[in-house]
Amino acid sequence: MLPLHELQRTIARGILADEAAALADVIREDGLPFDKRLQVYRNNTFISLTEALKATYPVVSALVGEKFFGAAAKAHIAAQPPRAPRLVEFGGGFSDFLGAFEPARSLPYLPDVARLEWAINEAYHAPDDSGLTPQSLSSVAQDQFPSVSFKLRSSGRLFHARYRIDRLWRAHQPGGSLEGLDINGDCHLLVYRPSGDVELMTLDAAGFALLWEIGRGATLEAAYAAAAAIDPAFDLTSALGTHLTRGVFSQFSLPDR
Amino acid sequence: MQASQPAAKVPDPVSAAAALPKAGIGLRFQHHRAVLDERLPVGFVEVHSENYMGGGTPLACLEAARREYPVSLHGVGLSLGSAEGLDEAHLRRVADLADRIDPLLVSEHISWSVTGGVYLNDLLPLPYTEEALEIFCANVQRLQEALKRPVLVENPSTYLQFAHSTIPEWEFVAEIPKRTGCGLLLDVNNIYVSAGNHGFDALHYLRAIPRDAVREIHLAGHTAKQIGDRTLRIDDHGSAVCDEVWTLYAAAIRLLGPVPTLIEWDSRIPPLADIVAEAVKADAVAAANRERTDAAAA
Repeated sequence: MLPLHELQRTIARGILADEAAALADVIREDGLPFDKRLQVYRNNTFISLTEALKATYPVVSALVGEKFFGAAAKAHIAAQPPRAPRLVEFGGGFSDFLGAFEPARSLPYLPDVARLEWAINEAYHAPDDSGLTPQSLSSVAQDQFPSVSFKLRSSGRLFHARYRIDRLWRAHQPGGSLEGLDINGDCHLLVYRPSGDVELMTLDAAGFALLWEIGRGATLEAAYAAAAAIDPAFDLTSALGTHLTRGVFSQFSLPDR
Repeated sequence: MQASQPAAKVPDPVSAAAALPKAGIGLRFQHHRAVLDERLPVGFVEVHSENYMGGGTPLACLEAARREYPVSLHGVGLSLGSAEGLDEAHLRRVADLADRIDPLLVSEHISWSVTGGVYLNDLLPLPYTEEALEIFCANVQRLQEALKRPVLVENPSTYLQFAHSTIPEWEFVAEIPKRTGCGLLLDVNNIYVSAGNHGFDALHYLRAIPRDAVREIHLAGHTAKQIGDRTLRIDDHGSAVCDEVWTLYAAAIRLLGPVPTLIEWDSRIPPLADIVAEAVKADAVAAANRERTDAAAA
């Protein structure tokens, strides 16, 4: 008789890797081959996890079609089954998986689409917080501004790709169209959830650098330097005004005096 | 009407209308908005706890629903049957959600999903052995300590049996509340599904369940799948409750008295009104059978 922990490991292999021979004497057949009985659980596992991936990656699924997506999902589930009991955490490795998935080779932008959809998924399920407003900084004196640092919203994810993945994504939203779609060029985005819905804020390279540095804990002065290195004409006042109006930051701090 | 009764007469708590709780429905994302649009004739709503452990819209909807209805938290991710014990981080998330929602009931399953840290996203069957019973009960006790309240555990639907099982399922299920003080969530459809799949008597199962431990009943639809020359009943929660399960539910109510009952519908999800209609039907069946008859237990 298998101890329970060994039985559970054996069943997991039987489900995920089709290695079920060790279960031949463990599962009672009762008129149905043991593997047919195990197959019910295999189906439950793979179908429910494929549905979960499809819910997280609707644009990837639309781009490759149901059949291709099903095959990719199956291979991914077997290779990287969930390691967390919340399904919303499952599928973070799908982008890397697609990048190495031979049949997806002809769609070089596909892993980036998956990466964006994962960022959207993370933003959707991030803990609640609220955004700073322009009034939040009213106590900060002008000469203190260079040393202010900000915290991005808990939902904030910075996204950069070598294709215009944002256009591709928007084309697949309700009312979107694939007509005349040009995905050439870099795309810089802030993905975040100001209140109920996740938003994609399109940035330029300098604006992206500013938020990237801020996200790493840099002061406004240091973050501006990174942005100005890319675009000497970068308008910090305008960028900061936008970010405060649109609730991009959750907190600010000043160095201890 | 109550006022006109002689003061000395104590109403029979079983037959009093107040003791007949209205059935509830499982609340899924599709119906988040609809459930708040009007006051539904349901006694409570139940959600899968794991779907509400982040922030944003899902949690906001659950909190809005909580202001309108009692909420039952039904977990699918703790894997109480895992030999490796419980994931403490997940246990904390369950406890945090329970603190936040102040639920009517908290329940989980008599099954397992996790081994070696891998989560299989299905409710897998346990062997019915003394070893598994001890592991399961230890995990239930850990959960009840973390939540500081008793929980309910639900009998499974299963498609296989282990050769080394030594305890009938109904005895295994009945033993858990005795050892841990937890309650039972009796899934009548699961009894019907497993009885058909393994050839045992569903009524015999029902009679073996300690009636005072049952705090909730689940009802759902299932499908029959032909595999070779055998029919397996698959618990897919994708249709209305079938006639045979309604009959078994009536028998359960006659045995147990009124118990909060919940309609689950998780695949091929219909409009909310169809699920509510099932809950209303459960109320009618319960009302027609609420006189607990000890004869039924005999």
